[in-house]
Amino acid sequence: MTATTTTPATETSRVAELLHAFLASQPDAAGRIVDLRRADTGRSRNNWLFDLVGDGSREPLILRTDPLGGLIDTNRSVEFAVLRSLESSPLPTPAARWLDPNGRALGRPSLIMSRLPGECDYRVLRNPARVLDERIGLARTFCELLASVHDVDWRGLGLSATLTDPGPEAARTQLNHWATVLRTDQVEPWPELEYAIAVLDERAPLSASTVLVHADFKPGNILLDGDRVSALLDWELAHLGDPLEDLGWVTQPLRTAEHTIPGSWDTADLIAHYERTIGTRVALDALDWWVAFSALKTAIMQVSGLRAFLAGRTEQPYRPTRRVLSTVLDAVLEDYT
Amino acid sequence: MRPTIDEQLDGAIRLLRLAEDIPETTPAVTELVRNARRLVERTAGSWSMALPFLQADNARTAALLGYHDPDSGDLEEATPGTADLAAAVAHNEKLRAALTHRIRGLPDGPDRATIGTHLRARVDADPT
Repeated sequence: MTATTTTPATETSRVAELLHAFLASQPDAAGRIVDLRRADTGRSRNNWLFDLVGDGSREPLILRTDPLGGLIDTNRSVEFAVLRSLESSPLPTPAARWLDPNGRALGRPSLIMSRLPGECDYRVLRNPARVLDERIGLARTFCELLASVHDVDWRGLGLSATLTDPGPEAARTQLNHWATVLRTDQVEPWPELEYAIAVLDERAPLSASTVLVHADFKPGNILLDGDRVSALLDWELAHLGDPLEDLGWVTQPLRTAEHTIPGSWDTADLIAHYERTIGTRVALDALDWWVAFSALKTAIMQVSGLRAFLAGRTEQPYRPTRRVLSTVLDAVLEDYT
Repeated sequence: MRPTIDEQLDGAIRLLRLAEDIPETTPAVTELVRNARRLVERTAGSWSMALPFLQADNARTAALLGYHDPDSGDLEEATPGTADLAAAVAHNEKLRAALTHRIRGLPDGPDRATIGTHLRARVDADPT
């Protein structure tokens, strides 16, 4: 998240100009914009890093702007409200500072949040630069962090003002949501995904409890300061739902390389440590459903990405891949032989 | 016919690789060139197999839908005997839309399972 890249001066100047005008209109944003640069490499992200320097103060910030197109279409206002609510929680989340909900000032819907220290490593659990014991320790820490997300007192934090509680029908609610995304965004029929939706709809489990779901939990959304978690980022997909949704997302076969360490930390270890942390058993049948759903969701995100690419709204040539489609179907195929 | 289609695609891949390796290039431009190169590579690896795949898939999907059954009244939906790629693509899309409709109306059972097996095999066979 914190890598920077060289950006054409004209683009940086344009963002600086918009940002300056926007912050000048905010009563609590006194100071100069310093060291503005694009975060991440490439053109696929719209995150800008800068510092706001005032009288004796320097606040590290990040401007997060809606991309024109991508894998998902989310709402910056909801993300802002979630972050603001979480400021009172024990979770390591950035402070939400300012919001331009409709993009009138900054060109696209945008939010500005505090920039926390630390570095992001998508494959940290398999990074040979860290010794095995350290990586196993991180795997446990990530698992405990996920459990702490699910332990958040979302009612007490007022999150129900922003997010809807689906009750026991969390699985069917999510399935219906992503089926709608598919049917809205597809540029051609996808019987493979409709087949998966039909099977999953019949098998949808009821959830035992409603928790805050991060919905994209992965090392790539965690900042590390040494071996300490300094931030859990990217709350754009967060919603209320079944805790097994996040557990299904991190244990799905498509994410194995991010969440496991061969021979030392496999999916069963992850589930067992999660159970020990939360103090209850995981319903494995229901978890299987969420694992299958996670692959389906990934495929639908690729369908949305393809539409965005064909429309010229993203430079990433997304498409439903053979690996993802086969994973979806392998998880739902019916056997009548 | 030289350069052949494959030679032209391979040439484009080579040139894009050269552009990717220019050290003065910004990461943003490198990412654009890499994405373009991957698209060309995918096309180079699949274009010659696309039409035979679509023709075979159209025949299998039509049979699955019962369009070859004289009693079904759907003979007009049978796969056209064409070597035209665009026509094969359009027909494939039409058949897959019909299959989607069929899936939505089918209950759990062997008929739907057969469609699932067909779709799984298609994922493996699709060269594109």
